[in-house]
Amino acid sequence: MTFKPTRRTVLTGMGIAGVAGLCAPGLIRPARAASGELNIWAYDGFITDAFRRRFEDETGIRLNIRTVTDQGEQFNLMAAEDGKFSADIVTCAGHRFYQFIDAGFLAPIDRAKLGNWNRIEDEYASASWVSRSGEQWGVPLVVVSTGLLYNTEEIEAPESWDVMFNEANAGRTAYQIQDFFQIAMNYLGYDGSAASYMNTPDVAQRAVDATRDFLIEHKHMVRRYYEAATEIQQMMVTGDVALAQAGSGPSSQLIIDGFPAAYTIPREGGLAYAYGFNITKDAANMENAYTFLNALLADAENGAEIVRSTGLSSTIKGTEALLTDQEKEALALSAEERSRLSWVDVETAPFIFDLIDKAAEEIRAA
Amino acid sequence: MTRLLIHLRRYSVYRGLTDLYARSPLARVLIVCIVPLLWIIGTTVAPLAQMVLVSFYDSFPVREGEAARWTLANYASFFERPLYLTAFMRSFVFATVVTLLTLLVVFPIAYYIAKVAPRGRRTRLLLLVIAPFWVSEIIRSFAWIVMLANRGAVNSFFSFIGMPGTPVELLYNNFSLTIGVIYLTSLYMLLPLYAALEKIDDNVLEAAANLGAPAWRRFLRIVLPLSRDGVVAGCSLVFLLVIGLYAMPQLLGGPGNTLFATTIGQIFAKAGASWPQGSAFSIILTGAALAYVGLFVAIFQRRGRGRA
Repeated sequence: MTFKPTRRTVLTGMGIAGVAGLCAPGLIRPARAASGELNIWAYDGFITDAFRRRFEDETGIRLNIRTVTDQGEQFNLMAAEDGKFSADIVTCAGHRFYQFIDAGFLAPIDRAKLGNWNRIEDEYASASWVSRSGEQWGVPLVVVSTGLLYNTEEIEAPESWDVMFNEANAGRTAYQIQDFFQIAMNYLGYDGSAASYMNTPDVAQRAVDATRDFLIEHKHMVRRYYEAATEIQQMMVTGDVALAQAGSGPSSQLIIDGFPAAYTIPREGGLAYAYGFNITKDAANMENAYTFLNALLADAENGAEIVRSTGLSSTIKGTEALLTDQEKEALALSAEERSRLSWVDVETAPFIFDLIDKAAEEIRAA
Repeated sequence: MTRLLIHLRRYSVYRGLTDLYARSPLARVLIVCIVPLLWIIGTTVAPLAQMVLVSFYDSFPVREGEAARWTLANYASFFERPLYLTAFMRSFVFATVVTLLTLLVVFPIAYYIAKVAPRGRRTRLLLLVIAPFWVSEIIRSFAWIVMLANRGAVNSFFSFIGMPGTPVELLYNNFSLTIGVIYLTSLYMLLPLYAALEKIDDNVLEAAANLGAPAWRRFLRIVLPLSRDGVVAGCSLVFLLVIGLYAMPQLLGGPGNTLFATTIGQIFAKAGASWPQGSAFSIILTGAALAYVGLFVAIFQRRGRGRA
C-alpha cells in the first residue's frame, strides 16, 4: 500500500508539527530531566575531561557542560530564565553566592544525600562562606588567592603593592578593577573587607570614593583592565604587561609552563575566596546532581586533576599528596605570605560590593 | 511553472490568498508586507519595546508576588554622574572620527573596484575584500593582538631593523582600537559606496575629461556628488555599528578609551538588579545615535536637493 498525501493529511501534519513546536520547551525540559543527563555551568577546567569520561562511563549520566567566565554572566542568565533554570549545577564564588541565594536561584544542600561531604577539608567544609541563613548552599571546590604576578626578568621581587603605582612601571600593569579594589583599599589604609564599616555606611562610602579617586588618578599607568582571569596569561606572554594583580590559578599555570614569572602576596595583603558547585532551585536533575557531587568528592585524584587544569588549590582531602614537586612549588605560598591573605567576608560582601561595583563603573568610564 | 500554479489552485488557502491579492492595491501591499513586518516587529521592535519597559522598572526581574514599580531614576542616573556623560561623549567623538577615517580609507578602494578595474575582475576583487569578513569579529581582534603586541609581528620587525625605543606600545590604546574598528567596519562602507560609484555613467566622466576638466575637478564635481547616497548610507551604517561596539573595544581598547557601550555592558554584567539602569542607558544611546545619524542624513539630503 502506498501512502498518498492529501491536502487534509498535509494540513493536519503541519498543524501537529506546529503545535509540537510550540510545546517544545515544555516537552524538552521534562524529557531532559528523565534522560540521565546533568546540566552544569562551570569555569574552564573545573570539570576535567578525564573525570567526565569516568563519571559518564560509571553512572551513564551524560554531562552537558556550559563554560562560564563570570558570576554576573551566570546571574543574568538565571534571571532571564525566570525560575525555569536550564542548569542543574552552577559555579558560585564564595563571596558572591549570597546574591544567588537572595534571588532565590539556589537550593540548600541536603547533607543526607551528600555522603562524601566529609571528604572536603575541614576548614573549608565549615567555612562561613558555605553557609547562609542556617543552611549550607554549595560544595566548595577550589580555593583562589589574589596577589601580585610579575615577570621575574623585568621586575625585582616586589614586597609591596607600591610597584603598581610606581611611575617607572607605567604602561606595564594590569588588573581586574573589582578584585583589585579591596586590595587598593587596604593599601591606602582603609578596611577592604568593610567589616569595620558595617554600622557606618557613610565612612565606607568615603573610603570607597577615596580609593576610586586614587585609582582614577593612576589610571594612566594601567595598560589594561582585564576581565577573564586567563587574559593575564596572554598579556604576560605577549610582553604587554610585566606586573599584574592576578588570581593564583592563572599565575600557577604560567609558572608551571615555564614562563619567567613569580606570584606573591605583598605585605599590604591579598584576598582569598573559593569557588563551589551549587545546585539550582528545583533542579530538573536533582538526584543526578547529588550523584555527580558525591563522585567528584570521592577521590583525591579528581582534586589533583582540577589543580593541574586550573592551577588552583583543591578542597578535596588528600589532593596535595598526589601533586608533583613542581606543581606544589607553583601553588605554594610561604607561611608569611599566607598570613597576609584575608578571606572575603561573606556578611559584609553584599554591602561593600554594591559600593565597589559602582566605583568600578566610574573608574572605567573616567 | 504553469503546471505548479495550476496544481496550487486546487488548494483553498492558495485560492484565498490570490483572490485577496487581486481584490485591491491595499490588500496587495498587506500580503506582500505581512511577513517582513512580522519579522521586523518580532526581532527588532519587540526586544526594543521590552527594553524600554524594563528601563522604567524599579528592579528587574520583578520578584514573585511583587508588582513592578515605575521610576525615572534610571534615566536620571545618567545625568547625575558626569563620568557617564564622559564615556557617552567619547563614544560619539570616536564613532565620528572612525566613520570619517573609514570613508577616507575605503573610498579609493571602492572607486578602484567600481571604475578602474576591468569589469570582468570586479566580482573577484569584491570577493577578495569581503573574504576576511567570513571570519568572526573576535578572531580578527585576536589577529590584531598578535600583530600589535609588544612581542607581536610589528614590534618584532621594528626590533629587527634596529629601530630605537622598541617595543612601541601599539596595543590597548586608541591606535589599536581605531585600526581594528576600521578593519571591522570597512565592508559596510565599501558595499554602499561601490553600488553608488558603479552607477555613475563613464560617458559623463569621459565628457568632462574631453572638455578639459582635470581629475580633481571631475572627482569633486561629478564623482562625489553622484556618490552622495553611497557616502550617506555607508557613513550611517558604520557610525551606528561603531557606536554600539562591545567586543572589539574590550579586546583592543585600553583604560583610556572606554566606550559607552562597554559601560552599558559592565552594568548588565553585574550580578544584581542592574538591568533597568542598563536598559535606560541603552535607550539613551540608541535614541541619541539615531538622532545624530538622522540629522546627518537630513543635512546631506537637503544639500543634495539644493544643488539639484
